[in-house]
Amino acid sequence: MSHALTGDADLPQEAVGPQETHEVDYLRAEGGVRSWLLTTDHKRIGLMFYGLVVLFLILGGLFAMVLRAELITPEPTLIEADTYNRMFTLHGVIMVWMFMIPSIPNVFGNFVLPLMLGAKDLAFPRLNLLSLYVFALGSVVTLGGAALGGTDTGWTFYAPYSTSTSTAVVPVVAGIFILGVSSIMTGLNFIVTTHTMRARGMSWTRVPLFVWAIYATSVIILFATPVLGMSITLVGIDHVYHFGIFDPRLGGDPVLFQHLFWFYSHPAVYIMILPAMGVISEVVCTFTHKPPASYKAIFISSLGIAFVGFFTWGHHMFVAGMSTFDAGVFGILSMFVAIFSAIKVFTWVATMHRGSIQFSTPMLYFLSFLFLFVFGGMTGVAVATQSLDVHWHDTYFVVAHFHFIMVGATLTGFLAAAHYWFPKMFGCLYSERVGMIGATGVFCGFFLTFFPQFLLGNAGMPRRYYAYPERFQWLNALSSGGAFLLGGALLLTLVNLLVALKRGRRADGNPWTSRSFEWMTPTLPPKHNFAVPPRIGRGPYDYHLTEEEAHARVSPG
Amino acid sequence: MRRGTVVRLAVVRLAVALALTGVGLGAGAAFAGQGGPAAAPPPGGAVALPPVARGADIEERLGQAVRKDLAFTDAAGREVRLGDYLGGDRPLVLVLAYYRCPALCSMVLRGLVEGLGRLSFTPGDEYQVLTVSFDPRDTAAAAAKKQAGVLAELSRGREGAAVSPKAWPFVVGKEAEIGALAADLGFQFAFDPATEQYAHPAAVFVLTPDGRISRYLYGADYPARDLRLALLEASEGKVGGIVDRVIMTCYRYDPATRRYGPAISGFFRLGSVGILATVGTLLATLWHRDRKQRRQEREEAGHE
Repeated sequence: MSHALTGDADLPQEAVGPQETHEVDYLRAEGGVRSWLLTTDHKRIGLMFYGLVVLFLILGGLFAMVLRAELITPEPTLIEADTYNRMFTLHGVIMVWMFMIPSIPNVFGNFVLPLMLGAKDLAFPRLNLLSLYVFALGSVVTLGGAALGGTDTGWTFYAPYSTSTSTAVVPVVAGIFILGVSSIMTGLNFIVTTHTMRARGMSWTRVPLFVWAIYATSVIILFATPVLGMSITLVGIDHVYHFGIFDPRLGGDPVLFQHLFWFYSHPAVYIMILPAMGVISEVVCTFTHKPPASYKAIFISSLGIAFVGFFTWGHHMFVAGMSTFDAGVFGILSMFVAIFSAIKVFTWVATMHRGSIQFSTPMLYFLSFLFLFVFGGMTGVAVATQSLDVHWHDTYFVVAHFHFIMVGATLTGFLAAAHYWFPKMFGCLYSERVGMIGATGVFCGFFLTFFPQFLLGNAGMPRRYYAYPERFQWLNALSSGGAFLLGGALLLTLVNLLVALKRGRRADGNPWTSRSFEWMTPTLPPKHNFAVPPRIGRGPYDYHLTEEEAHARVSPG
Repeated sequence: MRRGTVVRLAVVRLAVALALTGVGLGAGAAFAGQGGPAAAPPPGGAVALPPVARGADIEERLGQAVRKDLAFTDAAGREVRLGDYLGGDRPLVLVLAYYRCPALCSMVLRGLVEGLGRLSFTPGDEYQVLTVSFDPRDTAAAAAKKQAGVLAELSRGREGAAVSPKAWPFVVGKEAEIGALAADLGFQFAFDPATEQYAHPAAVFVLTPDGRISRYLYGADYPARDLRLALLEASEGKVGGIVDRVIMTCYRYDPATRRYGPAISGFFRLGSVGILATVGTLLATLWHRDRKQRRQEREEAGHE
């Protein structure tokens, strides 16, 4: 905070819009590979994360395509059963730890959080760079494990199988451990930045909702990730030394692992969703040109989800020997999440009411998000009910549910952010038409992939199975078709953005006429974001002000 | 093989109890785990035993209360009741041994004396010991003789510190009372008319101050650590200091090895407290700092 608060009061208080500075933008500030690899600029680090997570999305997506291709027919066709097991494990591991968890916070959080706070960088820029390298190292180790043959435990590493399988469990869990370290570094950095680097005049009620979401996410990361580290280390140790920590034959307890694993991995769902919700809040306000129907409702429900999320892990173990009383408590606590989520959904919808809605690609992703999130959320309430869960446990119903809620929400949030902040990150505009076609394709593909899986699960098809009875074929084929459509739409979206990088029209500073603070910087922000630390004299959603007034109230000095 | 089932049941019960505690605690992963080295298979299975020895067994009745009104006669010939040795904050270490026993009982008593001698707790002060003879033919005089010997040995183990006879009485009883107590404890023994001796298991019982069975310790040697942990456990934290409680968190009785061993859940609990404290302090400091900063800023704004 120091630079924002130390005596700039003597500076002449001219109404110089921050856009009129003539500094070189961050992309051209320094050249050469070295200037990128050793940068401490949060924007460049964000871009490097962007490259990595997109790569991992493609990789995880390719695995999914192979899995779905295999499942078109009831009998084995494309791959061996062992390969299938390894592939769905890697699909899960890559998508969870290398795409969904880092996606929005590490890419967009890194890029826009300091801009939104009026700060020149994150609080610990070097730690930020280190977290990138630790992330890269973790990914290399994990993928190295994959190259050594991968593992066939599923992304949940349930013991005692994970401690006795002959596949490469150790490198994969070691890689995940390292990824967790990176996660903690980033979370810590965001928390300290939000506390200490806010520009002058930015009170807690003027903090943009995306920042609140990232803040809540970071708190969850700090509390939960160490537990994942501990439990996954035990799996590794058990795998190598056979201590029997989780092996009942040696006096261990496999359910202990499930408790420990889900103590992290359930909150991890909120690590994935909350940032997406933050993006959605920004997108809704910008594209309806209205303040959120209730700022407080959104940020309090973010913190509420972060809190309650820690007390719901038991709902993964309803059939693993839990008393009905405990299961009831966990079920009810899980339903509280739905209450907080509903508060958010209603607030977003109410925000659109009487807004000046601008129909665009991010807005389309918002609508997909809303549908997928509500659908996934409602099925979540259903599976949080003990009696129903006994029927659906370990079936495709659960697969469909968590893909709807966490992938649907995170992916659409990620894509909304990718389009929404594209002009800010790269200074040019993408093709809106192709963007919308892509968004429609993503939604249709997604729905077509996972909706049939609800029906499959309800009809009794277990998850992670390689072959199935013939009567399930048409639904499986439908699901596979949807997956290919989803893959194609994602590819189209990627191409659209890549083409825009080369040929896109130059964007002006604020193409969406947003009031949020990151848009008050020049089109491409300079290396240190602000020539002079800004002073904030309004909220991030003050759409009642005129354009000039809105700018004037974010003044340098 | 019944013992195997019983032990397994105990694991399940422990796991469920701890899971319930975990729900209560919420924060931190406080879960059951018997992280221990490989267990020996339960004894007495495949090995051929003389018929009478098959009557010697222990069926664990953890958590069950013993009848406190059972009457016995102490070494001085007075009539006493089991309940006289219970109550207060002191857990009770109960030994079943008969005084003309040629081998095993003496080994059990010697092992117990050795373990208790190394304990920093004072008998009679932090815990109570009681020996009950399960041979109805034993007399008060035999009890007194045995008591004198055992107490002298314990006193030697405790570097000469005198042990009050009240801290470790030796009592005898009639067949009905002995039978009732043995049934309460799950202690199964058999008389062998050929040798005029009893076949019986080697174990001591640790009871809570209100007379519930808290722990069975098996064998003929009782490491001080196991005794200490069993006493801490039975006293429900009323005996011992804060350090003991932290140590207790990290150890758990492992029914598979029949020893106290490091408990994964304990380390997790400590780890979770560590995480909560670290992150909590971080957040509290930041919020505190932030509030101070804003107040300062407001004041400055007021002056402008």
